[in-house]
Amino acid sequence: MKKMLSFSLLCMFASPPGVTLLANPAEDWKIEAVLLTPDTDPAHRLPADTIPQILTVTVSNPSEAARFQLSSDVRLTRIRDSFVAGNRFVAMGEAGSADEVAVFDIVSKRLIDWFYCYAPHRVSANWIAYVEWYQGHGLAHPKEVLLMYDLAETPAENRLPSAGRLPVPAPLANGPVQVGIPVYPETNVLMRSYINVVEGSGEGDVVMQEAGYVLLPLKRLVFAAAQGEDFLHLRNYLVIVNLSGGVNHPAIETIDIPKDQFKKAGENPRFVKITGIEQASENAVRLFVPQSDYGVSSITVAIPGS
Amino acid sequence: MILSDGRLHSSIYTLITNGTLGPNTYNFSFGLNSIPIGEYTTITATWTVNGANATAAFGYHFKVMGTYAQTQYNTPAESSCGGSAEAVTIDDSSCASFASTLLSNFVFRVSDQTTGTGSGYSNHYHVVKPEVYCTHGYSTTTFRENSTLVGALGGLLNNSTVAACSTSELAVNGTRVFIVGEGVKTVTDLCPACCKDTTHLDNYSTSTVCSGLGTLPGALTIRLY
Repeated sequence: MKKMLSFSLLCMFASPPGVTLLANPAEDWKIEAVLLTPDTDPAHRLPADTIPQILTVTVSNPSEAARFQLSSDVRLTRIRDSFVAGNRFVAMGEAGSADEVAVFDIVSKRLIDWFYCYAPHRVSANWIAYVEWYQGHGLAHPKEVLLMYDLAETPAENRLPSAGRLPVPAPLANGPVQVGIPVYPETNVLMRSYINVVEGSGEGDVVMQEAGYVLLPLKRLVFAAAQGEDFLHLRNYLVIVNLSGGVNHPAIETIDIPKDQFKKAGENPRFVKITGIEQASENAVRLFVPQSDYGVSSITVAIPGS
Repeated sequence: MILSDGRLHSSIYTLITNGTLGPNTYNFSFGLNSIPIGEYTTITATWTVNGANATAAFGYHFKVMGTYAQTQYNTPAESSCGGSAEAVTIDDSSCASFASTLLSNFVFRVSDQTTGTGSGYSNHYHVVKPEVYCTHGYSTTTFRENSTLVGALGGLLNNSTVAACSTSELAVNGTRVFIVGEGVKTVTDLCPACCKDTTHLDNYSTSTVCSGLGTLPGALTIRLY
């Protein structure tokens, strides 16, 4: 009992004001409604007559006879996924040409963090994987950085020391993008860096966002990535990020995509169009491919155990 | 008339059957409202004249990709944006910087992550882009002056160019696409937002409006070889 009390006090002092840590992950919050409506208040209007949206969420907890609303302005334009993890409510979806993740603390009834990214996916109870946002038009050598947000950690713990110095949560006019912990590519992991452009003539990695990511047992995150200046020169491979040591200590391995399972080579024999990834077994993933290009609709790839 | 894939013998689309016509010259539609997704390499026409069959084949390679979302982007002019003077930093190509101002609506329209264009015609610094390299990360308050307006794949940007997802088969500089209702356009730029569903192209417009460019209707997109 004494140990539990000490832990609670530690959490209170370690957290930013008003932010509650996941002291009781067994909290049983239910989402009753999620609503996105334009915020037409002129005082909230952004430059160039841009109107934000009001995200309103109704949550309840039958065991505590609690039912109330969370609400905040956001830039989300369409919600693709929303869920509760412990005392956190998360909404993810489109925000114009970007994607946005908004994190609320249910107990304090506040938006505690939000950021722009590409292709966010919840890969486990507390982990969200996504590609760091970058301005793609005209950028010759992007380097897509895969980040991980851990809902069991505080917003501050989900930022590297080099993250842009914005308030948390940031005002709507400031778009935070340097949020989360890099787990790929290795240069960003080793340098503890958010830099997502290649300086010089090198080739950046591109994460195949459309295929998604899957977390296998032993906390192995699997996804497809590619390198090359354009489609004709792209070559792709599977990336396995072992996160058994936590998001701050990823171990990265890449493996070739076994093309011998295809009946046709496809337009670029070094690049496989992967439309989806799912877990096939404890140590294998299934890659979905266009049948018209490869003569098969999917292949199964063994993933190293550890 | 038949469209077929001469290599794969898998995509065969019959355009017209049982047409009885007199001697003349006729135009036949490709039937774009119903043409199936697939790759075609040959157009074959077959006539039956007085009980005898005649056939002609014409090599024409194209791939029906399906209906793609068609968004638009542009390079707005600061003079069309308005707003108040906002303090910014201007970088040159050697990362030497100085303090200046740009109109606030222009700053937002160029640099905002959800609606930003990524480039703009400023009143004093020619084409500006949000700084990435000198600032070691994307900046919404630092801009590179005298930037080059060119697509990520190296081609020019104009009313006949589009941006595609970097892992799309269309992401090769110079790839031509026929967008029904829009005409033939060329891929010269990349578009990360287009990777959300991959069936998405971002159409460049030379309009310099600050906002209200709008979205084009989704349209059947055909890759031309």
